[in-house]
Amino acid sequence: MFGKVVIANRGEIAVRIIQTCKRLGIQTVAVYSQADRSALHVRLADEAFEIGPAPAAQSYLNADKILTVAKTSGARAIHPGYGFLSENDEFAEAVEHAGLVWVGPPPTAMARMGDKLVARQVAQKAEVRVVPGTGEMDSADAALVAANDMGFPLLLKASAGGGGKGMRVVKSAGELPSAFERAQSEALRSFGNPALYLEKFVRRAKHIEIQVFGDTHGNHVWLGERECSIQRRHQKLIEESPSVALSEQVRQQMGQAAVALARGCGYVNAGTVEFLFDVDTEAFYFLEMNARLQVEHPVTEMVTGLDLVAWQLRVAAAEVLPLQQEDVQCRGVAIECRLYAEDPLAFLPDTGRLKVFLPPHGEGLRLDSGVVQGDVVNAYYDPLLAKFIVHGADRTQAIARMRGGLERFAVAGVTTNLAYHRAVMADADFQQGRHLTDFVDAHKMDVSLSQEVAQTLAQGAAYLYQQRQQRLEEAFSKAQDGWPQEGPH
Amino acid sequence: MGWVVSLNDVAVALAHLPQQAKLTVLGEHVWQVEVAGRLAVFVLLPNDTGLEVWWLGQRYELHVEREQVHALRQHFLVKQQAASAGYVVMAHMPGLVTQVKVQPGYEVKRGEGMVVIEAMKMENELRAPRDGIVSDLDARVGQQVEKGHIFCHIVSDGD
Repeated sequence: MFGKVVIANRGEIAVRIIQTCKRLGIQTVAVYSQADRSALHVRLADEAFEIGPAPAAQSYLNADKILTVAKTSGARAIHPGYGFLSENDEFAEAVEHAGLVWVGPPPTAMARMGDKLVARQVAQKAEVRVVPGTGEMDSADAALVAANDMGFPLLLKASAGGGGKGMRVVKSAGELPSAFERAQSEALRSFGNPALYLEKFVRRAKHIEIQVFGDTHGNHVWLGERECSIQRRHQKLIEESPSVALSEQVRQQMGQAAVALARGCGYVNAGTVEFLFDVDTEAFYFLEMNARLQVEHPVTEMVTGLDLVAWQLRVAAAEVLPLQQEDVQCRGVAIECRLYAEDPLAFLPDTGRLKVFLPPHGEGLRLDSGVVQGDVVNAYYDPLLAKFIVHGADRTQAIARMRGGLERFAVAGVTTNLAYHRAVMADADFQQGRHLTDFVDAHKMDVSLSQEVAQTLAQGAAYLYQQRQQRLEEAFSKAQDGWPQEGPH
Repeated sequence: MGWVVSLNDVAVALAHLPQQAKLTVLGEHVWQVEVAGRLAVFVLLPNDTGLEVWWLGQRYELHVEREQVHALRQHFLVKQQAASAGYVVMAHMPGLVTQVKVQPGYEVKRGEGMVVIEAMKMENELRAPRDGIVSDLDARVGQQVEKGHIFCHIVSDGD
């Protein structure tokens, strides 16, 4: 195992990786932008290096700077986390070229999976069904011709995409030109590649993905599935494992398809194969493969009892996978809610100082947080503050634990989406597992303060208000007492 | 004469202010209140104008006032809101201005794109809330704006 690892990321995932490294006795080296000088991941790491100004392009995406840090610190490996440089195969290659270990898949597999159009071909070769779609579209006009053939609604996607960036649902021909322009500029800005393609839009679908792992000795396993149907702007909000929608037979087929795909591209380390599951036909279609650790990996950890970051490090150190397929066991139900610094209605980000950040404690609760009380949330990076994860013996217990936990979660100073998550936990369709990928748009959640809760809060707040008034009045009269009433005697 | 406790626009009428409350301190500024078996965890923080309550991740301005005072404040609040509704184009999130599609004096139609801002890698197009003429434009490409920044007013002959 490595003596020292550079963590080329920030926020909760950097903190998460540091924690496993500490447990394995690995020294950690953090990198940070000028905006993150006092961030939690910097404070927790054994060493930390500033790599540039706040904008990610000049810091967390600065490959040369990060390689220099690795050399200066004497680290043996680089863990990229997710986002930023994690899916950049040229960076992975540069890391290996510099004689360092890349904690991730081989650059060749990354390149093939990173291009969604190539990934679709790999899937087809492994005999995994893909969503019907087009090749690269050069212009909005070309896209319009293809779209009229395919029929609406459809999805416009960035070939180099991820995280919902450069992706648009197009409902009619009239919407296509402006959607094309916006998606293209977003794709260029986010990935440096403006290529777009079209995909059929499956109306009644769930998003289900399989966690796969490969080692350098040719072994591959899959670690159950995650359902991530609840997404806003094509970014996941709530994830769970297992999915209520899968029969054991379909689950096995999906797992085997994912492993076949991983083998097909010589995949090593952690990866996620995403599928669209048509609830009416129970058919599943390959969407894409994410060649990195996924944000929602904790739900898999909660049901399998495994530490996936530890697995990543072991595999990177050329060890054999710790388990074989028949030894993988999933127990109970895990749910994750992503705590974003955004309002729960329009999902627009908020910034400011976290004056209060007090998570609840209790059985089956886990928090992966990148922040602590007093930290400042800025507008430079993704608004994900933390991930709140619960485990229960069954789904009913997990939902109850999540709901109770959210209600006891105290955050002030920055608006967060706690109320949205609580509303989903109370939603009948979600509780019965009928939630689909259109959930956020189709189910407007009531996140307003109810009269019932207001009455409870009013009692406490009005009482504290009076106490404060009294203290202020006493302080005021004391201050008056302090003034000399007459001249000196 | 009773009291009204309001959390933003949710008002609770009380005959008397509570002389006691079942409160537990969970942390600095963090309380749990219990009323008739119902629990609520909230944060109470002082701010420039008084006190604010945070519940389930959202902020609520707290007002504890006599009925008449509450009624009077509501009266002025409603008038003020009516006066500004739809007349301004405002940044709903902090971010960087990446496109400005209008100029002062431009005539815009309701729904027309005006300004594009980007935050956290997300693009957001602000559209005209109604037909009218762009005035007092304060938007330029590269400008970093705070949430609540007013980009322009939209005026019309009817104003």
